[in-house]
Amino acid sequence: MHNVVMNFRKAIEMRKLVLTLLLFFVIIEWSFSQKTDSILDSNIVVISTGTVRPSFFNHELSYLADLPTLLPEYRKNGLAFTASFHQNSNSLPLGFVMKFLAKGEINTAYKDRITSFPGKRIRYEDELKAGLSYQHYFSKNKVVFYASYFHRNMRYADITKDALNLVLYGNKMYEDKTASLSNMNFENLMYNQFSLGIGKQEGKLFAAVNLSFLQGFMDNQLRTTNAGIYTAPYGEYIDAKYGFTYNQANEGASPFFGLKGAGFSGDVHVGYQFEKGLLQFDVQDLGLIMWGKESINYGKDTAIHFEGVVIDNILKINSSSFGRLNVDSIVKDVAAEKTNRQYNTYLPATLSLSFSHRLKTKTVGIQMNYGIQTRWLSNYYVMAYVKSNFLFQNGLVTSVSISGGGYSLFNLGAEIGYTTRHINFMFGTHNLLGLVAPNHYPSSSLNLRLQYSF
Amino acid sequence: MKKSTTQILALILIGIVFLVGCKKDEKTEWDTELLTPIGRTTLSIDNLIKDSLAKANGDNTVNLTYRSTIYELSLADQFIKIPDTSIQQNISVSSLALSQTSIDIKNSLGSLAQNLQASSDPSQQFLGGFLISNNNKNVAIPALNGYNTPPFVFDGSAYFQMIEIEKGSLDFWVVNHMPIPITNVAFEIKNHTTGTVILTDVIPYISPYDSVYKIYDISGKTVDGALDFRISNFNSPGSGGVPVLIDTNDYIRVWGRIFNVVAKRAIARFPSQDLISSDQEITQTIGERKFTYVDCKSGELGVDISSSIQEKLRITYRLKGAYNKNGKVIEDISDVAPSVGGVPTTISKNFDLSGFSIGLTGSKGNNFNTYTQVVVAHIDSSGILREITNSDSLYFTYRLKNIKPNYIKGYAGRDTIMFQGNSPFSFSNLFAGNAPNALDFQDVSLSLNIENGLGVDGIVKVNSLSGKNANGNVVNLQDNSASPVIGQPLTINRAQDFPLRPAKHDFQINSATSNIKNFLTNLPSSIDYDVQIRTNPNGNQQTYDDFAYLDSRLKVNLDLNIPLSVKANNLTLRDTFGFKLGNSPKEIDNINSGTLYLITYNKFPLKGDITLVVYDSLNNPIDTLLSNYTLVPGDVDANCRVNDAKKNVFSIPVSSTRIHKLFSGYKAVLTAVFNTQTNNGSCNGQYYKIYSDYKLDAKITAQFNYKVKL
Repeated sequence: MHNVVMNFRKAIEMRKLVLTLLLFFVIIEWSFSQKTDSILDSNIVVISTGTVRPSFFNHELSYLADLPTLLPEYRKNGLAFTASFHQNSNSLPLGFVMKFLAKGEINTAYKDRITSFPGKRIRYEDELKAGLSYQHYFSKNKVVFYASYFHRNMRYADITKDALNLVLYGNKMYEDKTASLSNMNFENLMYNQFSLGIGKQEGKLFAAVNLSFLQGFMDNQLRTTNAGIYTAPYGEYIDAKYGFTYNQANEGASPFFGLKGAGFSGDVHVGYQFEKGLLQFDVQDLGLIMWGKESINYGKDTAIHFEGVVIDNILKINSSSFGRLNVDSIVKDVAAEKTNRQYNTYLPATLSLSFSHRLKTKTVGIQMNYGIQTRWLSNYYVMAYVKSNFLFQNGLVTSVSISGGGYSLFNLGAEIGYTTRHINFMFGTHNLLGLVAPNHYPSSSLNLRLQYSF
Repeated sequence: MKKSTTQILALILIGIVFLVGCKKDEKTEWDTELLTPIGRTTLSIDNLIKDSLAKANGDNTVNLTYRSTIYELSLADQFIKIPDTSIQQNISVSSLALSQTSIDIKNSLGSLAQNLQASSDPSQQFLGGFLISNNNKNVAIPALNGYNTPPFVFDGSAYFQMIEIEKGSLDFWVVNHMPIPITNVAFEIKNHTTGTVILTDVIPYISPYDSVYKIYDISGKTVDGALDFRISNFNSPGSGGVPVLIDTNDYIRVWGRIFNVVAKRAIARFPSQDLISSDQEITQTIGERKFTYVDCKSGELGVDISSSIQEKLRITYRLKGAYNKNGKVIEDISDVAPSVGGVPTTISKNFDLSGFSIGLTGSKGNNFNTYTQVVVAHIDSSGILREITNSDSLYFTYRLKNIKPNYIKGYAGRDTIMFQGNSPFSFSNLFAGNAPNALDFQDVSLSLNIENGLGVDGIVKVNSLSGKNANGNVVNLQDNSASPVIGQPLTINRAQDFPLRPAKHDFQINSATSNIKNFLTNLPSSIDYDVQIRTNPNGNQQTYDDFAYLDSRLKVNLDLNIPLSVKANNLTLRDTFGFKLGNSPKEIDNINSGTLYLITYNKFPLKGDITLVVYDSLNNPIDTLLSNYTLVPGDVDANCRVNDAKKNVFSIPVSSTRIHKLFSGYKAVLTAVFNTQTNNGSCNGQYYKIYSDYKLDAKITAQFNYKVKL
């Protein structure tokens, strides 16, 4: 438990770094924009045609996570920095997660609000992704070459509400009841992704593939099968049955470029340009990471009946008797043996299908995007969305979106972007409600993209 | 507008970064309500009746037996004390051996003939010439008379200068290797210097090619280092006219020696020899006791040896019949320098007797308290003339110190030991603070148990036993039976040995013929006793098979036997136990408040009122956790037996303040007041039998408001 929290906190530190980088680029852009008004005025972005041009700037596919790398690009060279964070849950708002991970008091009212979400299971996923990508367009052959590096940090959990109640309230509320802890899973994963890809335009069809080497350096993975805790009246005894496996790739801190696990993943993009629109299909992060033989594993499937420490003679109870009454000693009695063996993490691949088309207007280009998207996660529902991009002649781009599905039911999104001759910038969110009310709405996201084309 | 939009974005991001990065440095924490078992215990009759032995009978009722040792006689204190002893002895030179000296004279016929030719006697001249001229011829040899030889020196000065012979012998072997007999061989031995004749003799006849051997006693003679040996005469009848072969290589040989000499005094170069070799006994007097064997736990033997002998001695000392478990013996070899100018030289030796077993019956096996030494005083041949007399001596001083036996055997003597005193009677401690008759037993019996771990017969007489309770009330134990235990001599047999099996005797006192019930319900806290013990009342039976080990004990015990069928009337049990919540206040900092639950399942037919008070290290009460909480007894059936335990739940609220106050707790005092039920119909007023399955299960659980901190 302690290791998991520490790893979470490490992720929080990484999040601070990314946010600082975001700030840095915003300030750079701000300064740069003051000097390039004339360039913006040149309005090099083609927005008045009827053709939908997927690009880094027109990020209609980046609904939940980030922009896929494998988009066609018709400028010779492009270098982009991308950073995104999203958090998606049916009950846990970002505020709670931040309180839990980044220190803070969780009072009773807050706990009550968190646990008032309907449903018997708590589902949660988040991801932080940041990195650089580069593509080169061979105009003669209409071929795009891609190279990228991304730092990835993702967590996903599917736990019972009883488990959350036990953590937040303790077991008193389960007096003479059984708290279910069955079929839970949790993963906290960090890795670096190094990718190479290639895409080809053939008439109206554009297809691309990307292969990535994954350098895993941190992972915690928990699975339970049949588990539960019964607390007898007055706490006279506790019956616990539990079947679980817990895998940990590293013990203690792991270097950022330490190789605790290795894996591969693949991305596929296919786009077809119809006369009235663009149909695109994407698969991202289809792969796995194999963690090394130095991994630490625990596993047990058993039941215990705990009635407290046996005191040989109550008339002679002493400090040593009380000294044994700590969690560590109990854990020592019931915990599984520690082993070291390899295990795998299958990445939660993302599948998406979208259709985009342009609405004819005189002054503002409007691009409508309709799509569905899902992730390979436990009980993750297909998400459907509609997103509208507004492209102004002065280079300003805005978008609004509405979506439903995944772990959360309803989301509103908004983005704003700006383009110059060489630099394209975008900043926004797909979960505006979660940002505005982080302690009330269980979903949030933040995206930033900055591209330099030459 | 463009500028302001970007600025707003920047400000938003700055704000977010500050919100995350400038979060106050505190732990994530929240309150939980935990409900958990902490500990459990079972109080059976074994726990309640400490220092006792509860035995289940066939019907599962319980008999309580309790033993109190009122006197214990230690062996080491009484029987096997061996006093420190110092004994002196001297040992004279027992023998003084000298080197053997000898003479070997060979005279050929040719040499004899030449001597005859040189004689002034014409007849001898003729005979000499005749023998030489007829060498290797067969001729008749004429008679020869009056022949003598010049003296031969019998020189032993290389070995001694003078010997006063106490005992000694001289032998001669005379060989006639000639064809004619010789007769009247007269010889004499004289001191070369003084001319004192040591020995003279005549050998009358020696046949041709024959010999004569003779031994002479020279005891009492004083012999110089050089002796003269002379044949003063010898004759021969010749061949009697019979031709015989004359061979001038034929000869007469005389071989002699002085041997088996024991000197009174000698000035000599002594050969290597044991001047002293003897067994010496030292006997201790230990009163009437006669020990034949001792196994020493510790002790020391000191030996001082003084020598008046003018020669360096090698002293070999061994304590005979002493071995440790590894077969090691007590032995020492030391050199004692020669005595100079009549002043003895002394050495001292100490031997650790720890672990040694020593026979004490002397060298002949018929003594007592007797140590046997083997002493050998040896001299090596130094080649120097020394004067030694048989009055020279070794002087021994033996010192036995701090002998502490593990085991003794023999006759232990007769002793009469009177002892009066008192011993605690811890059985009543269980009921300390109770009024007499708080606990009423239906029946009680008592046995005076005497356990004799000594291999000694004895008689024990218990003059009186009385019990005194905490209030000072005394009840004398009275035995009115036909064979009373109190006031009469009780014969005690000896223990058996190899292995030690103490002799045990039980003398019963029952409640029908004694006041034992009153004696016990007085709840005595101590027993006053007046006991007399006599050992070996019949004196020494000459068997010498008494024995005692260091840890042998003669114990006088009181064995209580109480069928547990009781009535309790405000019977108060009180005990103190350690109470400490933890080593550091941090261990309880996370507990805000809570409730402790004491859950009990009582199967005893006794109602209990429980009070639990916590004290600090200065014995100041700091909290009363339980105050007169009623422990409901188990329900009894028609046979006044409890079949099912009764559940009780006691709640003890503990606030954070109270927890921190309890943290200074050092000990707790649990007081339970028991009473027999009074609302059980036909069982009212009866004694309640205690069954072996009666017990009190207790569980402690806790409901804590616990602050989780990550």
